[in-house]
Amino acid sequence: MEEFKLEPGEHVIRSVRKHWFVFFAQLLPFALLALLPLLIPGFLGGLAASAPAAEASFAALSLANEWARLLLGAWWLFLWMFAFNTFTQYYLNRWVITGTRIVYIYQYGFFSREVSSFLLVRVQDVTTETHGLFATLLGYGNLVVQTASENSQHFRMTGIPHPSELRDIIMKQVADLHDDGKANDSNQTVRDVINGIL
Amino acid sequence: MQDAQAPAFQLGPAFQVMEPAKIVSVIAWVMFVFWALYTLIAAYHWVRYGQNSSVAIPAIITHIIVSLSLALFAVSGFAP
Repeated sequence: MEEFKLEPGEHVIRSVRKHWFVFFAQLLPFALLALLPLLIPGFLGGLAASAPAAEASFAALSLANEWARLLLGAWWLFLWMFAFNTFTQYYLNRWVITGTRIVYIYQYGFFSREVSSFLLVRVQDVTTETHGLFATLLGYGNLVVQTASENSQHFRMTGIPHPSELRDIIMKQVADLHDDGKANDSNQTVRDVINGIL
Repeated sequence: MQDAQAPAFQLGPAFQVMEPAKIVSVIAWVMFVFWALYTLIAAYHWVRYGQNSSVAIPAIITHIIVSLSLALFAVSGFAP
């Protein structure tokens, strides 16, 4: 892993990205924009019926015309690059939950990236939010983690699948870290990991 | 009043004598340079930040194949 290295005794419990539906919803505008030029000949054909004099000009916009194909191909190529950029962002953005911390990786764009890491022992509050029909039916939503440090921070990940399940995992890990019964065994390991991180 | 005396807008002589093949060639080069830069940057991010994912290389290959297919479609009307 490039952004962070697992400390000895630290293991990844869960790695999450946005829900697939959120990703496809982001791709939808590109699909509509790609289809748009294909509707233009039909629209112009309707206009040509009312203006026969312009029919020859409108006919030149069909795919048989090499210039129309050039423009259409260039348009689709640009749309493809933007769509691929959306996929790149979708794949590189993620949350990684380990036994001792949460790593938040957000790719704003090319050459713009944020990686935050905060210890589970500092987690004060975990909130899930599910808004809307699709989010409810498909089981995705937002997860907000608040830290208890002096400068209390909120970390929010939107559109992740099963946020309640993730909240339970985080709270279980936090509870395990605070569990006195396991203190003798785990605290030494946790302390070593924390010391390694700090 | 000065507008009325201004000469009508006309394309420059270079555009009037330019052949379609040259225009296509220029457009294709501009597209290729832009695409090549984008592909290099995207591939760098996938390799650098993809955490050695098995998705990285197939994603880059898919991007290149789809892009080249669209580019071929774009210039296919001008094939000799």
